[in-house]
Amino acid sequence: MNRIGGLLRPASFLARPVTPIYAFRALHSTRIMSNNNLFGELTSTKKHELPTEPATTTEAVESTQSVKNPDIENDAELQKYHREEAAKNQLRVDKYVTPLKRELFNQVVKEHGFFKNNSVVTNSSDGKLYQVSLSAQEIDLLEPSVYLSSYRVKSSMKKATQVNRFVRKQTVKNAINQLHFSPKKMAKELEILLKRGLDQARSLDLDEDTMYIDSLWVGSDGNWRKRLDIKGRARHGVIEHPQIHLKVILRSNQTKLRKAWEQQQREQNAKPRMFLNNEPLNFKVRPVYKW
Amino acid sequence: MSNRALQSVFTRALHFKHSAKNYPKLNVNDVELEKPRYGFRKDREPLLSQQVKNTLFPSTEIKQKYIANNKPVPIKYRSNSDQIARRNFEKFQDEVALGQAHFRIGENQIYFPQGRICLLRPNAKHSPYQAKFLVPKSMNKMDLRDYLWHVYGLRALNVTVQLLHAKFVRGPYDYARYRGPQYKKMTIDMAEPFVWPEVDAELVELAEYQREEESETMIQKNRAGSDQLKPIDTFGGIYKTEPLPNVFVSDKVKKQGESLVKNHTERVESQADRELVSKFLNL
Repeated sequence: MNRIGGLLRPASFLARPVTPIYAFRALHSTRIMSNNNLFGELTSTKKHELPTEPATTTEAVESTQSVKNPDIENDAELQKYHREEAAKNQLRVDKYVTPLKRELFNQVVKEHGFFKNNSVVTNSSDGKLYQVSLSAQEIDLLEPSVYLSSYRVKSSMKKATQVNRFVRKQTVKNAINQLHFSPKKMAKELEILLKRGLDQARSLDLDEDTMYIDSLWVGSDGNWRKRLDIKGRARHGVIEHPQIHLKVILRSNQTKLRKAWEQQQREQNAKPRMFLNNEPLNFKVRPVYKW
Repeated sequence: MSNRALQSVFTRALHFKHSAKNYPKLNVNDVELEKPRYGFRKDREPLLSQQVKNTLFPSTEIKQKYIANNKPVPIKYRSNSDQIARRNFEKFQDEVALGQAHFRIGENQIYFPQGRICLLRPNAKHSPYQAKFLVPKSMNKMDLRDYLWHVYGLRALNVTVQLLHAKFVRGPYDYARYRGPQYKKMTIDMAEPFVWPEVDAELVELAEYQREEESETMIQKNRAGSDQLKPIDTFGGIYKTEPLPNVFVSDKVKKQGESLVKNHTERVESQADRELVSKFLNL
């Protein structure tokens, strides 16, 4: 009874306008929102049309596929970014040697097939004569080379050194051949590294057949896991799990030729060996016998 | 004393010995090891109050029944709580019909509520007529009821609170484990059902893919030592920067060479300016 009375109250009692449908919703909780909006008259909602069903599904599928299989090859911006990043991190000669020196070095190499120190060349760009004398470090830097380092390897320096000694100064191809049939674990790791080096040499337009291992060394890679080795008689030791890396410098035939030439020059310029030394006598010479 | 009683005394005597003659005469099939535990109590007549059924407020009716049967009315049916309940119920129905709040509205006026209130997905135990919220710890049932009414026009017919402890978390620097702060959830009963929409399977798949790839990326980015040089191959290889071939430069040569090249480039770049200045000064 009371409920019906409530319903029949005059409209002035009502906080909000009541629609006829509302009267049937005895227990329903939702208020009829004015302006079809949670926030009443303060703001008005724009009616935005939802896209048709098939369009949304295809879009979703496309987006999923694009996230899972991004078209990296054709993404010019991404490729540009990677190129810039790689160039920034690359160790290049032009970052550490001035252009004139590089030009002169190349000129000498062009003339002789390899770099002859202290030789005189005409610079093609300014027509001047130069005597090119470079320090050993500069020559090392300017001559074509590939510097590589391996990833982290679970081995020890001692084990790696045995393999390194085996292939040092060999041509890369010969070294790969030898390592391929070596039963040692480090042989496999080194082979992988050298193959990577060959790829890089190829990308630099170097003759991969004549590339040789100029330097090859091993280093601790740090962060070794340590374990406790419990012994008898209240003693203990520490078991270490060594992790290492390999580093290698590959050089081309140019370096070999230069070194041979330098050796030859050294021999050629060496003074004739005197087995009697041409020095003043280191004692007093008297014309008389003292005894 | 009967023979049986005597026997029971004797069998309990210290020096009594069982003989086959004295064994109880029983058939194995007659023995019921686990007797049912019902049916031996006294069956009482059903209570008068149990006769009243399908009534929302039965107290008055029950009271009248007791009086009619000339029996004392049990204490719980003596009060007029039934009338109060009916009055409240009718008031509630009125308020619902008028679209008014079905509770006493709080007096604190808050225009920009700060607390985070999250509608959560239901657990298996919840019906569509229930909704669960993650609420700030400072909030109480009345606050949530008020909030939901004023912001969404939603009637919370009943509110229950769950104050939950956080999971244990481990820090990177010690072996200890810690609990985060407690969190509070509230479950409300609603008059209308609400079912969360199904999440698109493709979207779920995508999210899982992204989560896996991201965690893999983090692992690859934090690799130890020389493994840092390995290119990251997650997300189909978008992080993969192919390294360019390097020359070997010792640290000393690098330092010297960098400064030389820097000076050189500076000189070359300032050449034009120098010429301009010298031209202006007629040097």
